[in-house]
Amino acid sequence: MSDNWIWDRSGEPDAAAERLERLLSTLAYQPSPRAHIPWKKIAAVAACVAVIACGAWWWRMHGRSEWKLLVGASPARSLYTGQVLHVSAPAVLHSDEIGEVEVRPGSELRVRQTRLGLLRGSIHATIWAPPRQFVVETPAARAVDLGCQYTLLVDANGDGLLQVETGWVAFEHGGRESFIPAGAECRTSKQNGPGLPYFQAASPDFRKAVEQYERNRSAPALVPLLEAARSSDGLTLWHLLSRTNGTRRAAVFDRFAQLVPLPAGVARDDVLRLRPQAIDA
Amino acid sequence: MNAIMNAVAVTPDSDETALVARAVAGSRSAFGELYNKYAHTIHGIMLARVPFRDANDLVQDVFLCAMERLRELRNEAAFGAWLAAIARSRAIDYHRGKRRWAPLTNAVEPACKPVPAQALAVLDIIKTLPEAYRETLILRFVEGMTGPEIAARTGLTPDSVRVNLFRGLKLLREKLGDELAI
Repeated sequence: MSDNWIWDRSGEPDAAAERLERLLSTLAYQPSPRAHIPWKKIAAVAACVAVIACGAWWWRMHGRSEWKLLVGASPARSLYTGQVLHVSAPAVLHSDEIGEVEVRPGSELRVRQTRLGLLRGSIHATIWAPPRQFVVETPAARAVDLGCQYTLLVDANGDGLLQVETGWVAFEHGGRESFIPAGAECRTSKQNGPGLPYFQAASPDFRKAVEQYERNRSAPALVPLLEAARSSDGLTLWHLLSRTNGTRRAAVFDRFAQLVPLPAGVARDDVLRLRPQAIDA
Repeated sequence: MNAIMNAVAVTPDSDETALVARAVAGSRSAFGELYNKYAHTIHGIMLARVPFRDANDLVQDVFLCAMERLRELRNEAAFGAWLAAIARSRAIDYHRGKRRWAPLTNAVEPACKPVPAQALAVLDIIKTLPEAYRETLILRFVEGMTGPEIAARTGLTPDSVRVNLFRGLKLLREKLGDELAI
């Protein structure tokens, strides 16, 4: 080995080390060729806008985001992919192609090209993009818009609550999914991912039973949940089918069938086996 | 932090010291120049400790943290060592689960260009080496820094870097065997 070349690239190249460097250099740090950090702009905006804290950081890693930032009567500001916003006053993110997101004070989020990451705080989204175009990542789950208007809150622990006003939202994490329609809400935790959705108009007894079941998911906790369920709670029971097994799943199905007429052609056995055509019916 | 700075040799670069002083005084363009100078170093330090896919994002975190804590810097000539210490601390936080963000999937927005599988395989082997060796090897062979540059940017003495580099390379060669014939 040519020690000088390995040390400071002087002298005759060392063939093997050169080979190694050629291979490993593909992993080197590579900001976008267009990347520059608009430092003066950061300082100027930080000085005059209450929304964004001095620690905010714009990166033109992959170009501009689809989102523009609106604060009060100020002109809309472009945002860049990777930018982190610390919001201390009401703000709105707007995209002609996607929709509008109101960001509440105390929120912290990261902007991507079309997606957002909500670390903590609260947003209210009105989305007109086609389904699945708009995604919000939180520490506990990913909210996938299916054509809707909703509010998403994330607390300091990274746990969340999604409340849907119109349309549907899919809440996903680690293979677990919850589908939340208009008038329903769903909690999510970093530990367990999306919980059971339920309608906001559900009875207090039912909501309490859902909360207790989510805490320990035991067979005894399932009993009051099933007893308190009404026909309007089919959404929750439907989700429970795939989150229980054996006799518990059978108990959930039997209660579901008492409250909600099954579609024609759907057999009990098919549902208990979670056959897609039965579940999706 | 002060103990770390006292334990390493510092070769003051008067131009850089002036740059750091301007950054501490609030010059964003000066901080930008420091970013340009140190981004590869921080990426290399991260790469030695965290998964490849997360290293880029963590580089951002480190500079954000440094920007917020610049006023704590006591010795402007030791900026590199101070920044490197922030990076290593951030890597520890990452493994303690203090990651700020659930990873944004890249179905729509690829985060980085594809890299050769063999490169990642060699990187995995480097990561099995002692920490001091792996960081130096990554800074030299991934980020393309020379030994003197590694010493200047991390605050280590050139002798320490030389030992890490050559001993690390020897160990790497033993682990790779004939695979790369190094």
